[in-house]
Amino acid sequence: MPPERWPAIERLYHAACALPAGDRAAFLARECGGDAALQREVESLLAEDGATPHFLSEPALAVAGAQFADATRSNLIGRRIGAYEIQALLGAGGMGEVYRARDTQLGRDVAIKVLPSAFLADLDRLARLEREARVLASLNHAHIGAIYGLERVDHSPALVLELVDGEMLAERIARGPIPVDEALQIARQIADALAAAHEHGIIHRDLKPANIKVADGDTVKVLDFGLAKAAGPAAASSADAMSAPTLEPHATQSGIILGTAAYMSPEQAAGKPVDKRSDLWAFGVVLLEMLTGRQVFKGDTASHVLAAVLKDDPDWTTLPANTPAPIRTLLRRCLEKDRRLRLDSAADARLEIDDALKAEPASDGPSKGRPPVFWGVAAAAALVAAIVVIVIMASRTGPTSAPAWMTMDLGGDASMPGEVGPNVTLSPDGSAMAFVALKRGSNTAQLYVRRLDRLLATVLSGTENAREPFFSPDGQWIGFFDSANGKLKKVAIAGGAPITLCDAPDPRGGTWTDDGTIVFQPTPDVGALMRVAAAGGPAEPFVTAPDIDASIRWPQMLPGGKAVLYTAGVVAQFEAGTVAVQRVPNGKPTIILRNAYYGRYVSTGHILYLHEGTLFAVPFDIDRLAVTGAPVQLVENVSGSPGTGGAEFALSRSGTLMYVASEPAPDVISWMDRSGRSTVLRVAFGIWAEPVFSPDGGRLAMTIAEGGQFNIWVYEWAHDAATKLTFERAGVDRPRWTPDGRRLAFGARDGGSVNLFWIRADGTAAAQRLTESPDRQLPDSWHPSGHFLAYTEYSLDTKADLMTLPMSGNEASGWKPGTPTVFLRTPFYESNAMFSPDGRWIAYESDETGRTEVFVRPFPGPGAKVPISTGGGQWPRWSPAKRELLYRGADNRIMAAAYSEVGEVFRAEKPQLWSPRELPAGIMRPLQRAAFAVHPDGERIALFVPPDAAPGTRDKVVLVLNFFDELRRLARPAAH
Amino acid sequence: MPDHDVTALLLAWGQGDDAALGRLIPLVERELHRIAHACMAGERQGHSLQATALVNEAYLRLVDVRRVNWQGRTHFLSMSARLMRRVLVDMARARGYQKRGGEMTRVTFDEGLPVTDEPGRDFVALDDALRALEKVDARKSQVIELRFFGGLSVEETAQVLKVSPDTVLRDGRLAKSWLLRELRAEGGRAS
Repeated sequence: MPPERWPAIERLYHAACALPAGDRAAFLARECGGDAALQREVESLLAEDGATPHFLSEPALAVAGAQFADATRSNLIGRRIGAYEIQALLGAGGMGEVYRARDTQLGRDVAIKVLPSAFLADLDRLARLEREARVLASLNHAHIGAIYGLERVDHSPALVLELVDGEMLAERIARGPIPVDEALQIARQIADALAAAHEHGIIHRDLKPANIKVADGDTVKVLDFGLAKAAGPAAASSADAMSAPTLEPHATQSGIILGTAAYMSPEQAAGKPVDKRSDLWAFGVVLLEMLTGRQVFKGDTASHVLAAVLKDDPDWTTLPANTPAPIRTLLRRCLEKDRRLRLDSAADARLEIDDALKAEPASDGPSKGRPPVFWGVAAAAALVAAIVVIVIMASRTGPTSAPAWMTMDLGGDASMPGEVGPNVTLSPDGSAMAFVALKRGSNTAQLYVRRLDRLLATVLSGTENAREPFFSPDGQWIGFFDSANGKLKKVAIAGGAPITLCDAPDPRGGTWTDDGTIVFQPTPDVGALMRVAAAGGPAEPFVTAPDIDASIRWPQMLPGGKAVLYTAGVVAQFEAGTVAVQRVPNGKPTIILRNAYYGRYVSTGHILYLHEGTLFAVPFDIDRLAVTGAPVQLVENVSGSPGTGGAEFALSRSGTLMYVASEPAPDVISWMDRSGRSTVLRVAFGIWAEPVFSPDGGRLAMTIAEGGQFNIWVYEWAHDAATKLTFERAGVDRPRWTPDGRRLAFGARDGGSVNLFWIRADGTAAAQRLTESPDRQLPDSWHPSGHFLAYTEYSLDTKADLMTLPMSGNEASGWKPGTPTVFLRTPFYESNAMFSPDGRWIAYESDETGRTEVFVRPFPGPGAKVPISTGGGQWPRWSPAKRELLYRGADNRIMAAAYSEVGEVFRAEKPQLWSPRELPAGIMRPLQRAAFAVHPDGERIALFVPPDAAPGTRDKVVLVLNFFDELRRLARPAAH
Repeated sequence: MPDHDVTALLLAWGQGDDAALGRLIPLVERELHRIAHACMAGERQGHSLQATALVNEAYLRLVDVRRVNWQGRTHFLSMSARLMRRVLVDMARARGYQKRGGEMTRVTFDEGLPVTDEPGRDFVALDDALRALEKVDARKSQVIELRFFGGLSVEETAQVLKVSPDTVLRDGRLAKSWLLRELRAEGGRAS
């Protein structure tokens, strides 16, 4: 069609679209007046209209994400990777494909494990894999499958591994119990492997018969050491079992999930961090299974298996009669659910087995039917062992203080500059902080000092345009840079005019050493650090880093003054930066951390650094200048700039950590009515989500994120007063008013998973637990009678299900939670179970059709579901005043479906736009938290919206006192 | 945490600094890989609203729209949509090349994975079709770029193009029909 015909095509197309499909042909024939080409053109376009409803219906990024996820793999057979020729596929499983390959250089066969491409998706994960592979490669042990190297195949990392021929222990166990002697021979070698790895600080994390190979009859090799950790998602804190070792999110083959869950220690099952004792648990399970030939912890689904791990005791009666007594004790000590009581040394396990093997075969052991005497002895022995363990642990660690967290205003009406950089610092004794800030209404940054025991900060005069302050070792002076004049200066905290020391045109950090010099980076273009006497004098080059092809910055002299620590990297790419250490004056740089920036040495023997907004610590030996253990995640949401590699955290020698939390600007709360008109109500503090009105409309409960913590707050309109209801409990979320407005149910973690709690809305009593479950639970709504709480329960195999918790009793005699019952459990994702105002129906969302839609079902059922939304729907909310069900439609508008109840039938009208106005883009919060609440008058909604305005005021720091004990506890150097 | 550098680089690119694009692409690619990972690991994987949330989050993390003043905002949004299109199409092209290239044969191990030929999933073909549409009606091509690649709302798209939201919806509808027809014709020719 020639271009000049386009306007006509367009006009006819839209005109025809407006007509019923049946009328279009006649309309076009008439309009085109015999122009067959034009008519064909429009008809061919109309034929596509709506024919492919999903076409371009999700943003490209989402499509791309799904494609990555679905990416199928190329067969690699016949390809050459580095020195390796891929020869055959050995297997494919949850962790990728394994090939047999020939090392053409060394003339040996190897196994190459190609990991899922998602590894490259996550630089952090890849970095951990690389680190881990390096440590593992150094483990040269007869019973540990060796790692030869790490290669890259297209977009996937590939591990080059020792090729171990032989049978998997899993296959062996599947054939039946292994004779005691033979089982102990195998177990001995496993324990030996674990002991060697633990000595190097490596935890297997996923020990199971499918990871153990028995070669040449009886030589054992333990495979995949530590890979679970390197492979696991970064945030290992999540309680859902999805974050468990090699559970593949994609693995629908329940075998994989079950295979791993069955060996998971109770702490892993509960989502807690693992340590070597977790391996000893798995070791115990494996040994028990070898002896009995049966799975120890069983269940139909992974959740049931995990529940068994948490609750059930192994069936000890299945042990063969000739199991030696010390081995029975060993098993019990390994399978102690409380890891504090568990055997914590694989070397000890090995010794026990050695002894048992040396001893006479225990032919006279207690038989299955005659347990009493022996069990008493064994239990007593275990108890004694446990007490000994506790005493040893207590004496080893000594008294420790728990860290205390607090958020503190900078003081005065100052706020930090919007640009992130190391502009906050602590005095060495932790009594004072110095920071760069702007007075309200001013554009000039100045240096402030505040004693932590005072309310207000003091401006140091003459410090305009200051940046990157650092204290002198005696805490009496502050060094800083004057960015307007390009100078390094110092100023006494007692006051007085700053003193210029030397030039620093575009500085990147300074450090005041114990011997009275200042080492600093005057400009990022120079690959050298300069030094100047703090008392004044000429500046001179100090160290150069000739081998580092990057800008070096943020120096810190290590205690003793023999080495300097710094960050190296490329502008805007400091997530890929490195932290290096170099002896002075003539040493060479040694890179100690990759994908890290702003490394700071701490006297506990750690280096703290930032990576993707998270503060990490790694044990560091200051004499050897070497990292001596695995990195540990300390604090999330710490402000840092991948642009410059600078970060906003500081430590005192006294053990205080101070940092700036990287939180988005606070939200705005506004009303929106049906016409789409919105009125700003007030600016919120923190990030608000999951709002819900009290039944009388006078109060609004919500989840507020502040300083990385979630809490339930209640906001009263009339007095503009907000009250925090929950304190110091993790995972607090989703408040739900009881119908009488007296209490709020909410989800929280108090050890284990997020379960249901409730608390009096006036805060006059502590929160009480309502449920106890290994599955994550979040409340959805109360039945108007107050006798049922509907909630969503998240499980591995049925995703999310709707449950109801019956509550018996009344206000006078007290309430008692009953046994939860399933309202709706399918393989699909159901959530947001909302009781209708009359309590006869539950509205909920489900993705059973492939997209999330809103449905209604009768309560308590049974009865058919009634579809409500069309084309996507989420967050159903009943209007309290009208017979209307509101929800968020797929096009990000609030929809309303009018409904009627005729007898037992729920009839919903076609949903209409409740308001023509699109919800603000930011309404889709991370973690799927709802961001609107329907007012009881049904005429307006309260919306929580991130502001479009200027970035939020940065006027708070987080202080963590007694941080060093925590640090020592969390990040221990590997034993030598 | 908003990545201020992406914002700054986007602004620089928008003001004609082509070198900024070279530094932007790896940053954006990294983010995309992270989304991909999140899609895989998410408890609601395969859930379209979840993907939308992830994208939204990623976008917020990538570009701190609040830092861009209101006058520059529409320009900024259109630049970011263009960037997304560029990166995604390049990545898709690279992947397709690997799949088809050399002596490799493609074998699917995960038999259960649906292989989709749904239109709109092949970004390279879509990109070609968009170029063709651009020649016929540049604004309609841009509506798709902004809505699909940029993830902009109808109202934001309207602001960028300085037309009414209604026009955006009408443009989008016709553009989709046009593109679908084009993609089918292309697919027909290719096979």
